Amino acid sequence: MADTGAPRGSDGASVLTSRSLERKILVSAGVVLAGIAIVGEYRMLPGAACGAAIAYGNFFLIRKILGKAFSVEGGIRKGFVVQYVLKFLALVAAVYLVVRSGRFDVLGFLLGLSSLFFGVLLEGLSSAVETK
Amino acid sequence: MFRKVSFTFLLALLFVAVATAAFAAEGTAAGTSDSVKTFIALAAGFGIAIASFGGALGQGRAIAAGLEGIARNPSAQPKIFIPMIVGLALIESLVIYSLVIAFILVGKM
Repeated sequence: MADTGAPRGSDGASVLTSRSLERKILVSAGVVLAGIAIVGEYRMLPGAACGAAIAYGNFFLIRKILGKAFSVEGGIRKGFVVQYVLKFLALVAAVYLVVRSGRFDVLGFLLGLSSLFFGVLLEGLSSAVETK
Repeated sequence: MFRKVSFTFLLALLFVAVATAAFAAEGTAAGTSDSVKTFIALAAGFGIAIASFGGALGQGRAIAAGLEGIARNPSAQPKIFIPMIVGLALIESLVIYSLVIAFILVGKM
């Protein structure tokens, strides 16, 4: 799966690329962390950072695994299901450790996890503005 | 087919409602905290069950539609692939939200 990073398709409309989306997720994570810091809820910062890291890592790994799986011409690479299931188990384990350890604020963790949604929203808004 | 599934679902719901009432009655006799714990366990279990059911259904539909599109028009793979990944990540995040809530609920028991 070659990611050219080209922002526009043949019809002139902006094309969603994974790299720009990853950038937007990181930007939104930074905005979430900055917002929490500005509000002054410093105890939420580690949880939010952890949630943002998990959201970004989850998206990155999904892209890597499925990208490799579909890179084979006329077929699907074997073993990607195992990788996907292992990724999911690791994700569940990470969430379990974060929530049950008690060291991280859960609300902050959920806010950080939401940076994926904010990133997608940001990407959609920016591509809509570019199209206009 | 749909009738059978809905009938089975309603039957399961009825069973759970009866069991809940029975547990609640037992909890009242033993103390309030027991019934609260029962409802917490039910909420966590049902929450994660519904979330995983919806997530699995959504991911299955997304992947099926994406693969069908790629199979019909292989040249459109880059245009289909990235939105499919984004959709999968979003669906998975929603399930993780409910997992977090379930963990929090279980922690309160």
